[in-house]
Amino acid sequence: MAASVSPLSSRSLLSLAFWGFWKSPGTRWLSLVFVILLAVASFSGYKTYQRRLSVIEQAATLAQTNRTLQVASLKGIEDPEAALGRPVTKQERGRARIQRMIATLPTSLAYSGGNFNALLTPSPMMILSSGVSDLWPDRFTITAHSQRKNLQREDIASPWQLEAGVWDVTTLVVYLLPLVIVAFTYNVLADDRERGTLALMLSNPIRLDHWVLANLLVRSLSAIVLVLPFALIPVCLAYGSDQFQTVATSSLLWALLVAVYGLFWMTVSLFVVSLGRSSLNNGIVLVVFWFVLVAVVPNSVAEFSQARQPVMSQQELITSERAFREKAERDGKALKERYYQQHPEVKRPSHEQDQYNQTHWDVVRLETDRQTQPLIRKSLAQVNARYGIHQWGMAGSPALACKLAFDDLSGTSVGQHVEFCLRASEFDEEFKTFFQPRMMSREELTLEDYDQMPAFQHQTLAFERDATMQGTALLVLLLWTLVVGTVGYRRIQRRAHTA
Amino acid sequence: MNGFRNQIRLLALLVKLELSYLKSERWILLSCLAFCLMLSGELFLTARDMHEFRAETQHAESEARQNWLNQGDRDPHGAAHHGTFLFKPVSPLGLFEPGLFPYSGTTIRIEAHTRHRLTNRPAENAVNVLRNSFLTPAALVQGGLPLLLILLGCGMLARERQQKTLPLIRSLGVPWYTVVLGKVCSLWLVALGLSAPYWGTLLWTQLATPGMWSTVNVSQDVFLRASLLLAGAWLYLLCWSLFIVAVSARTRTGSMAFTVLLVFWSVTTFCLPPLATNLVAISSPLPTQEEAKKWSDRKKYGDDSSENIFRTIREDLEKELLAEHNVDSIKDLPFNFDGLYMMAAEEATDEFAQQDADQLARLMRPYERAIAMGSYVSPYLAMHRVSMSLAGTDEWHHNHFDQQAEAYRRHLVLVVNQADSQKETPDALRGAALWEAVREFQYQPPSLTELGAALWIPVIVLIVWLGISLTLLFTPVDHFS
Repeated sequence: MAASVSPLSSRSLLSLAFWGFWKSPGTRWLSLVFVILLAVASFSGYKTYQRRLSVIEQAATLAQTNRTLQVASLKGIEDPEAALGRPVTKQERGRARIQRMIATLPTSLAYSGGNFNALLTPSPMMILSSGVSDLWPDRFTITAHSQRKNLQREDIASPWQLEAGVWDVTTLVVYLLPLVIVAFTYNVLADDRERGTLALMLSNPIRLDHWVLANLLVRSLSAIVLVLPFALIPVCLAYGSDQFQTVATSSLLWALLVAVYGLFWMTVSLFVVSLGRSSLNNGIVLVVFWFVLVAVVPNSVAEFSQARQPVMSQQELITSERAFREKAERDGKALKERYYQQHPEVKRPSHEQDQYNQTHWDVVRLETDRQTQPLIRKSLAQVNARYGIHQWGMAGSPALACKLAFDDLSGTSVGQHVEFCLRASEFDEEFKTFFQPRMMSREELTLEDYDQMPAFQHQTLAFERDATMQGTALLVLLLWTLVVGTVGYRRIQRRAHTA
Repeated sequence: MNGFRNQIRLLALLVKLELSYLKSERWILLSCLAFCLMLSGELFLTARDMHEFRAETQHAESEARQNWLNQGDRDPHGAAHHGTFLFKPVSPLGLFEPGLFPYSGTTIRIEAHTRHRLTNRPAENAVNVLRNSFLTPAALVQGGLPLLLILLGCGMLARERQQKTLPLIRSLGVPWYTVVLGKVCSLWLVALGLSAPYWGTLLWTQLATPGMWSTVNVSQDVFLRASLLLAGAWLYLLCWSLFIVAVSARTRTGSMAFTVLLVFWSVTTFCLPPLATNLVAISSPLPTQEEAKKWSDRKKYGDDSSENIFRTIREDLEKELLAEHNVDSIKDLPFNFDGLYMMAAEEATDEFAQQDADQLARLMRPYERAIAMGSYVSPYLAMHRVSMSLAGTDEWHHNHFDQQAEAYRRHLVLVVNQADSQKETPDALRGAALWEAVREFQYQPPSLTELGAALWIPVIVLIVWLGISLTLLFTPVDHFS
């Protein structure tokens, strides 16, 4: 008799599941709180992005203004207003005077800050994921000082904030979205059983496995859908810019990863629900799963990476640099002689041209840098190797896979910051290769020199994505979802047959 | 007397029953084992990191001192610029609560004219991608363990109620407080067992092998701090045990208790710290290094409305000294004018640097205040603050080091500037004698008594929280049955 009754259509089943979900206590409140938290995180991300962008733009503008004033001075334009084509303040006039004074002096120009920078323009995707951008620098002033000093990270930050961690949309997605899905789904089936409505429901033409799937899908998608609109914020901000297409693609990928990550947690719920325990037990087991996947595994990966790949400490770097410098100062005379012998094209300055023996200090710095630079790069390579271990580790935790992919899409990953520092180190070398002969000869700079001056070429590094990383992260998420989902579904199917 | 003994016996029986139930659940045993392993591993790795860091710091300190002493015949003013580096030592109790240490600078450059900030945070190279994941032994005990206790304890009374065993026990004449005390004791015992690697190591380092982690002898102060840290951890876990059982007692079902406790834990332990500090960052953003540099630059070099301070100092000093010594040129002065000018200029720049440091500290304060406010509602934050203060890894201790580093900088600059001012006299210090005249930096950590309010307010919060939990717990709620 029961076989003759046609089963409920998928649409009706989903509507029924949605109705049940919407009417369950606390659902709407929890959704509202989650959305408010997401909105706060987005606003916080937006403010951080705006502030960083403004700092980078200010640094670029200052360097550009200085360059304009220097070039104008070489062309014989002394008036800063004429050079800049706008009225200037008294303070700017003072600065313009300094720029005019140093325009032809290679040593003064190379030692003064604000003229040459390595800058990392933030991507609007940073609003969604600020990654390690609070710990790693996004700008360096490149001068004739030592490379270690130039690449010194000195950003002001509250240790309280650094310790508490970032509060961005990605943090909420990685940590709280699973908890929201757990809260929405832990009592699927168990609640019907505990209230005694399961038998009544099964007396209708509803298959148990379909009922469970419909409920889990509705509840998980309800949580996922709350997050997805936030992916549009960077797209709106990038609208009309050169990077619009890149940001739009990144945003789309971000949304896809969020959806798959949410579905993964749905399959975890499916698996736990299939165990047929009480709702309390389901909740407990799900929270254990959550803690293992978002805390235990990522922690273990972090600890393993630190144990496996030591990174040269800053103490060691400072000590080594001081020792190199001490030796270079002792050998200064010989080093200087050797420099002029090895660079016959560099004209040795007269005593009048070099009355303070500045060339001695320049050659000391050159020697110190020559020995320190490999250490700096080695230490960056070591950090990168640690990051590489994390990329392997993401196979063990969908949360880690998601976080790595999100940071990479947002241009705030460890890998991108290390790459930026390496590029900055290369730029520092390029800068000194250009200035060192001019500083050693102390000849005046010409307009032709200004045309040849190096400039940092990697300002848009934050917009570059690592396709392999994205692909691997997506694959990891899909594999986890598929495996856990299949196991859970098979179990629930078996239960459906028994029921 | 017999009645009391019976009560104790009854309590012991209830604890035994509860523990045997917990033991019978396989997932509980597995989770507890996994937690213990994780905590032990975390302790081992943190100890190793701290040990390495300490060794590197000591090596760097000694190298920096040698570098200073081996300056040969460098010009005193050149030496003031060459300066040195100071390295923040890791606290003897840092293993048990790294606190803000990984997120605060650990090296500081010491030189004339400029007061540098502490830079190089150990966390920068650590590559912790998921930073909110309880990465330290203290975070595991203070944040992770309560979650496990919630999972173990949320159903303790609700389960009895649902299985109708609670009215049965009560009908046997077992008082309410004995029932709940039995649950609390068993949960607390589990908590103590799970955190045993933490407090066991703490006890072992203080009692069995003092000084094994460092060359620093475990002083009475450190021992007192360690004892308080231990007592604090036990009290904190007791608070959670009481609170969990109280919530379990006052909710109709285990699911409801689970939901309430999970939400409470998520909000107070997980969401509140980053949310509070990030909201402060929106309302009171910190200056960039460039902006902070402009503060003193403006005071030093003047702006649209002021003059270069160095010019004024030089002119005033020149006038004063020429008049005092009755000569026409600074060359005729019986000492090096430049050295004296440096000292006068340094006084002015020190003052500006102090103003800037104070201003930055003022701007930093809202972040600490946000955490302090958060600790009124979050036991996790209250305990975290207490343990950081005790372990010497909070911002207050960081600033304490910074102040001593600044005092040392002033000492170093004063000694070399004095030598510079005397450079044309026979008594002037030169070479090795001058470098030796600058004392070696020895950081003196503050004593426990200096902590004051930083310690007591969160302790009071914990005690209040304990009181609330006790009140909730010992009010019988049989009517749910």
